[in-house]
Amino acid sequence: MEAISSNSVGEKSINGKKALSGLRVVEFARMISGPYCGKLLADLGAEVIKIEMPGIGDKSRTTGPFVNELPHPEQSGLFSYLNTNKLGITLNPASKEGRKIFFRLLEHADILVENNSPRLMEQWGLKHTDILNTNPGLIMTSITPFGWNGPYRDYHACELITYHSSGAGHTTPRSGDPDQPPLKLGARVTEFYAGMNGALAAMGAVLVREMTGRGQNIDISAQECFLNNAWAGLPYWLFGNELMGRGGRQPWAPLAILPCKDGHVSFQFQSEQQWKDLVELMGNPDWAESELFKDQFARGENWDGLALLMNEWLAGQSKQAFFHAAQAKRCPVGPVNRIDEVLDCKHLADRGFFVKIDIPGAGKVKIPSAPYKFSKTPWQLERPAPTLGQHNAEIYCDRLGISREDLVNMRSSGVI
Amino acid sequence: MDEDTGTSEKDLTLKRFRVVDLTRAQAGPVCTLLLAHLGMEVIKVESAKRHDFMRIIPPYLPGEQNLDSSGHYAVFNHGKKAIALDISRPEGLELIKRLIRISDVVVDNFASGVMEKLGLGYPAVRAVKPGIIMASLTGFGSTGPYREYVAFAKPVQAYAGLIELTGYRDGPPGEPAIAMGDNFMGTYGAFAILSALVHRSRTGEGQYIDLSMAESIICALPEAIMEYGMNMTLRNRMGNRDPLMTPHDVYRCKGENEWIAIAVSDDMQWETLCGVITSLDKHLSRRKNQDEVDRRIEGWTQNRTKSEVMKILQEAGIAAFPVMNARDLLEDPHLEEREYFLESDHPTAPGKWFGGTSWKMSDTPVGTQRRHAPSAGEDNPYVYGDLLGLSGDEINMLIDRKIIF
Repeated sequence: MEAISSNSVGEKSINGKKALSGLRVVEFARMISGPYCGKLLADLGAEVIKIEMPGIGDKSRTTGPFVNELPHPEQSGLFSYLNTNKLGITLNPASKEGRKIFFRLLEHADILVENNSPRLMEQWGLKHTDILNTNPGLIMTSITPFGWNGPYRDYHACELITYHSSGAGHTTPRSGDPDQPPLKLGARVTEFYAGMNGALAAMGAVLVREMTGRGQNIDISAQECFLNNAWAGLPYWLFGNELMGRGGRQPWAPLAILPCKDGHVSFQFQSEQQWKDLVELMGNPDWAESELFKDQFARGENWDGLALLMNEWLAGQSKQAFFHAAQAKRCPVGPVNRIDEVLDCKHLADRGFFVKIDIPGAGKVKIPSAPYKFSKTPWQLERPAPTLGQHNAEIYCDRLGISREDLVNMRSSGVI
Repeated sequence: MDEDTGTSEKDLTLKRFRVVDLTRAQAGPVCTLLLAHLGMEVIKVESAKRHDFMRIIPPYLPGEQNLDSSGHYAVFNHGKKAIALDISRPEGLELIKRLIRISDVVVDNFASGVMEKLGLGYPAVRAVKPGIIMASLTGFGSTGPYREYVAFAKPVQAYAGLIELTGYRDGPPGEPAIAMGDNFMGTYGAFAILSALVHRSRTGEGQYIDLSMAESIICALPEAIMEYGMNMTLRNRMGNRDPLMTPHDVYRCKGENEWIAIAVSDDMQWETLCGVITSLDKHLSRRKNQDEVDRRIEGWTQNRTKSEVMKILQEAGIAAFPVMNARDLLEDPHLEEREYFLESDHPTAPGKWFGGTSWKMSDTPVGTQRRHAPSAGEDNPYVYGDLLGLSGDEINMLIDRKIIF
């Protein structure tokens, strides 16, 4: 991974230095939200020990993509992405002995990341108060669908549920028939967003601890995180008594996705100058002078007719060529890219955004690195996601001083 | 913010960190809002010529329509302080540098190159304050061939691949109402700034952070990206459905535009669901007969309210939740019990409505220093007088010369 290029900030990165070196994190989490939180910390240099249940491991190991759709616990694309730079051990904290070891691990930790339902944690004998009592400096970051209290705290949920609980789906999509069903976005964005907020809050708590010496618990609700992303509808209801729904017309234009020769392009215009420049790019058609399209609000009012006229012109344009031609005139336009186009984009290649990891059976596979470049402590890929229990001996014997013999016993009794 | 009470509570927030906020619109303001929620002192810098254009975006708060009445502006800027300053003139530039000298963080979301033109590129800022953390939030990042491209959330979300994956089966790409890219980049920005502050606290070393909205979105799309990398297959638009779970969709309920989301992840839950909705046949392959399964589920849900369906299915152990609209959210007993909504002291629109935080910390309550979004220049006296030590005469002279507004 290349650090930020020297010409942009006038200094070279120093390899090996990491922003979060020295921070010790224990992660007892599965699927996306908790593991993504742990990944963000691990990728910036924190030591993250990931705990997985013996035998089954993190559920994302059984979630694709897999090569030829053949499931294999060490070949999941999702797991491989979410667990880079971590150490992996197996442990069943629901067993008596396992619980003891879990608490011992926490004695040396700065942060615990977990995303288990509060009900399950209690069933396992992992009470929140006991966890916090292991170590006065411990920061416990819990990411759950609906948080630790309130009537929905034990509700069953997944991406579909938390996304629609935020209000974002009720107003999506913004175009088409208002009677069509609410729509989810085409990725597990709510889960990722909750993980991001967990990492952010944990870093806030680390800074607080530097002043006070004390840790604390952080209760994150995925619903609330995404609600902060989906605010648009709330003021409309409160101050206009208007319940924003789907479809319908945007107040100004162009603010839409339109088809072109080989796909679609997205417009989000904010100024009259941008419109004038686009009109010029379209070859100054006569209709552009009509009173119907005189300003952005008039264009919004008469959007249906305008869309037809623009479609006619766009039918002859390819999306990438149009994207660059429009951007050359400083018009805010974007191509609706397919994933292969994103992977092939020369801009992202220039930034060194995609890095390759080895997935057994698949070879080198491109994954996103990080959306930020630090000038002094760059993002680094040091190790691939751990295989199930890969670092058991290292952590249990070398770190905790458990004998090899006991380790064998723990394995046969299902503790690890 | 409470007056000094001598309690330890206020000491626990991060109020000793000061942020110079040169952002406008949404991505940057979200970033600094999250820092304000941790208690940091965020000073928003605008000029009378170029105030934050969110100030004029509808919907408006009740009462007179002015620069403080946008609901959107209020949501993304509460908890901050604001000054008005023309930084394009030498005296203004000098003042902003004096402010940076006593600050920890600078955040901007100008197009690439603008900060350099203003004389506030990272080398200039670092020269003023060596330990500074500076974060630039742009659509495509500050390097690479597209670094100067004009970027708003919707075209960037399309460029990043999210929109191609979003939509009904056999339908066109779907446009989300939310500006997800803005919030994602803003949140990553706050995380990166805090990480850099952790590093600085150990080494004294500041740094520059270059953020990209496009990359902020792509980082959440690993499944589709790796599906292509591993199998050369492109994922199709699936509406609300899922590659693995069935049923997994939204269903009409009693009432107008009322819906419930239901997701079944394994065979045990499927059998449970068949026990509740008796028109379903547990022996039927739910994967192969997805359309029929969905029709039968909707036949059952459409005669019940969404909250009824939620209660019945959740009690049975199945993931089900209403598709919430704005009214539902504001009346929701769960969010109420969790005290999600912050209480505003906005003069024309007080009450619980204008924002919530994404985390609850046991020892560090949300520490915003103010419970409304600032008027343009509201904190001029505090910043120019108390912080920078300018005399009343000096301030008046700068006002006359339209450096300060």
